[in-house]
Amino acid sequence: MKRIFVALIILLLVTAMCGTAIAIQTQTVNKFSVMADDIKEAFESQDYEQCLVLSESFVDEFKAKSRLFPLFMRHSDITSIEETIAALPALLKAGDRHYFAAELAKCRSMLSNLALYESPSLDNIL
Amino acid sequence: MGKRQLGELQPAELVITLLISDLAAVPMQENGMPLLYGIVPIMILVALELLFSGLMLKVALFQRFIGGKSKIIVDDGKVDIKAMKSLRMTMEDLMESLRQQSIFDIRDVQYVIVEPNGKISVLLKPGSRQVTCNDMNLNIPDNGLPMIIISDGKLSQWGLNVCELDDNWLNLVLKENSCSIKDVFLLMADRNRTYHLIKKGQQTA
Repeated sequence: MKRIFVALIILLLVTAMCGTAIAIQTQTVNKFSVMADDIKEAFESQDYEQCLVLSESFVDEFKAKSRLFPLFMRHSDITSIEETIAALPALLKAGDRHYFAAELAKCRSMLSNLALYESPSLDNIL
Repeated sequence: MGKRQLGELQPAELVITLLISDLAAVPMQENGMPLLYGIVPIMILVALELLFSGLMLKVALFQRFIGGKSKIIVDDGKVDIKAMKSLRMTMEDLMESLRQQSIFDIRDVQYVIVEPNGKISVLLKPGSRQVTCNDMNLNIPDNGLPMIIISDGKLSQWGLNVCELDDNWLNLVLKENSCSIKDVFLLMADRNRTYHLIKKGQQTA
């Protein structure tokens, strides 16, 4: 009976660990998506100064909040998003708005994918 | 799995052992992969192994389903070809296994059972079995378990306790052999105070 209890405790631990990881990821990615939406809104309303401020804070926020991601996500996935986000303020400063819009769209798409990477869905399992 | 060796593992246990070693290697080989990718499946496999072994102890049906069951391939001296075919075992395999148990003539064999771990158990015909003391009506004294009392000059108090011996007996033995504990390479004894002593420098039995 002791073995069965130990097994159940381990399974509970794993479930808790995975649940926590998914919760952290969903919460953080949602926050990032909202920030990316704000940048897009500012860009579309041609408020480029506000757009630059939001982009710079987005870079800092991503660096600060994605510290836990390498514990449960492939490092290459995080790095590629980080590289895209880091380029946003520089593109705005250089005045390359078309490229900025493209990079922002790419960034939003990557974030929406990131939200699905670790979710326990059938698509991910298969 | 306890203290069982690789050859004694049940098929399911062997598969889990191989899977765990494989999973542990993945995050170690790839730097960009989180450790949790290895730890989580390993923990799940360990938990399942514990759960299965626990259930196998409690539920006989589960034990049969996971661990498999023994199969008789020689039944009362007759080779069961059908059972051997189901195990994909040839006569050569059977003879090889028998030879490994020092049985060279299949006519001596009454029963052969293939255990779930792949090993065979053999029961010889009554006429081919070794004669035992009971067969001869001999009364052999029970000396208990022979234990190492001194090994390379080091005393084992546990050995003394198991053999129900004490320091007085040990001092007597050492005095008889004119040596101290440090001079002894090996001292073995049993419950009946029968001992075998080898001094250092004469390390042959």
